[in-house]
Amino acid sequence: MTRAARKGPTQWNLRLYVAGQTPKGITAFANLKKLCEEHLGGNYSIEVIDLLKKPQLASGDQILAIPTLVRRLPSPMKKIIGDLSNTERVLVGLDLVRKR
Amino acid sequence: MSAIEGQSQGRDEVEELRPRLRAAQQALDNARVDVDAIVVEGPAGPQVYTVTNADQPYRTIVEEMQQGAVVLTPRGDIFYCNRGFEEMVRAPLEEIIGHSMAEFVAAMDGSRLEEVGAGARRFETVLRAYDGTEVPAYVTASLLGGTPAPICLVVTDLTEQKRQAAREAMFAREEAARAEAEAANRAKDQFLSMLSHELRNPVGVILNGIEVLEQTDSSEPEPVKIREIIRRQAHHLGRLLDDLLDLARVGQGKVDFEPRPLDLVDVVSTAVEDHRSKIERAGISLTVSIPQGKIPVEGDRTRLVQAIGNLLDNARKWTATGGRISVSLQQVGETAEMRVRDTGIGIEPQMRERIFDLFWQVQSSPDRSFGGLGIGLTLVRRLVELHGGTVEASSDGPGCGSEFNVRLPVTKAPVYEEPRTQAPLSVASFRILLIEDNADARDMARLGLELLGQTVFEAVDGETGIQMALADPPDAVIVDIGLPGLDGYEVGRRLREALGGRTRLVALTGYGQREDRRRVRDAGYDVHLLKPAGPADILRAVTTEETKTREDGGLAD
Repeated sequence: MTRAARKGPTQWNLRLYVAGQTPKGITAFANLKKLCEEHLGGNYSIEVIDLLKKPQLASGDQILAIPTLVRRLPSPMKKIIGDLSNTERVLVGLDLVRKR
Repeated sequence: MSAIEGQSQGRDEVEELRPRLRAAQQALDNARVDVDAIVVEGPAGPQVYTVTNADQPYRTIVEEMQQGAVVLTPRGDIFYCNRGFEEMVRAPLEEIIGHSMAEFVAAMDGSRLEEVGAGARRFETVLRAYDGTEVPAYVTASLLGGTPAPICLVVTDLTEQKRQAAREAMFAREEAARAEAEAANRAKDQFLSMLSHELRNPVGVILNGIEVLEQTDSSEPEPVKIREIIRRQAHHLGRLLDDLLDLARVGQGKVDFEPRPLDLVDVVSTAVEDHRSKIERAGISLTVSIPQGKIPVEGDRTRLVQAIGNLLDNARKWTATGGRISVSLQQVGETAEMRVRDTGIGIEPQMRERIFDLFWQVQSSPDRSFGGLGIGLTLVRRLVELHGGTVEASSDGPGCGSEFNVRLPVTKAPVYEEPRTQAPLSVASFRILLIEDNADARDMARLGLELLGQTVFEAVDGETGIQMALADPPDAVIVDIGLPGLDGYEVGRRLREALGGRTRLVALTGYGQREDRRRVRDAGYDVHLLKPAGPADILRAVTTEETKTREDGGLAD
């Protein structure tokens, strides 16, 4: 699988669903930010959606558990549940793994 | 499994949801994934159930409070902020969440955040709002639980506080300014009352003396002493008035200052000699150290002598009998340095500059044994500055004497030798016509001139005077410029026209400005004599060859 960089600057659109300031939500966000900076350069945008404030937004992406990371762009959509501490699993889940 | 607390629900609905929750929990357990909360489809749409405590009251407090609250990742990215912070930085939420806190801080860098190790840290800083404006703020930073620990900031907007502090500072400044103005006003009032006192004294003595003279037989020895006293007091009064006039003129920049090349050595010597006898009579020794050659400066001789004289006077006043005054003068490069040192009462450090202030005087003590108006040093500074120089006072403290340093720029121009002595009085007798409307002034002038052997004719107004002059031309005509009816200038013009160049015309006037002297000259007068002028002055004006107008009509000798 090629890295995003080789394809040219693709814009990544990521959504992180959280429930208030829970520890895992914060951790997920921190991990996500770090990951994006290391692997996506500047070509990304992160939306943080607090389902405690707006629970109705859970339906859109069919969220069941929180925190959940949704990759909306590039398609296809990808979902990863949890605090994203397992970097390898996240990279795999987002198709960012280097060709071995 | 920890208890689940949900958002507010009706009892029935909760009952309905219980089985669904149990199923969802089971699914998650199976997935072995770490989550904080789950979403369950309820009758009113999706409901979020947090696994850990939702802390609804605290949530409300945080959202409603005026202070800003921000949660950051350890690296400083903003994960959450409350409405207070949103309003503080005036930014839309999407421009805050996900961005680095550093974007919103003008004065803090990331290292500060890293400092937030154990425990809360409090510091003042400046935020940068979304539109770039700066917001002074107070920040409390603390670590939340977890690893790595997120950082929670509570931010207080200090704008109003700072504004209030600025307002208070401004009020304080205005108060201080007002207090200073009031102090200056009080000082001025004190000066005026002291002035009144100082002027009344010599006048009182003079009037008393005259009365006594009227009672006493003139062959007694007392009248001689009384005349001496009257003379001294009149001179003292004259000096006070001179000082006052000078002060007013110098202060308004109206002094006639015609700088010429002078020899400062000569000027200093003159001032010293003028004051030597007074100093030595006070039991104070005077030593002088001045160079042999010349030190050329640009200036007005009379003014410089006056300034140096004031410094000597000042030294004499504040030095007790047995003390010493020393005067030194030398040229150092392009500057002439003059020093007047005394072993007198000295100057307190904080007063070093204030002694040159107007209306300020050491001690308004009831024992005003020294008299004077306290303007001498002010005059010195103004006159010295008029000459492009500086004067400074220094002292080792009260009781340790004082030193006054005058610095003047040295010029390269050659120095004229000014004749110092006045032309001697003529002994010849002249026929003098006196045109003066003030009876007392006229009588005194006539008496004085007759005592000097002159023949005097009088006229009380211009018309009469002109008629008399035409009928019997005198050698000289003295005209008071301020005549009623036909004014002095017109009288001068007509007299000059009628009498030609043989008769000396002298204008007696209280106006000494350059403009006035020009008018007098244009009206045909030979001499402009500034009031008050005594009989000797008048005679000199009549007889002297030099027709240069006298600039200083001083009362004192």
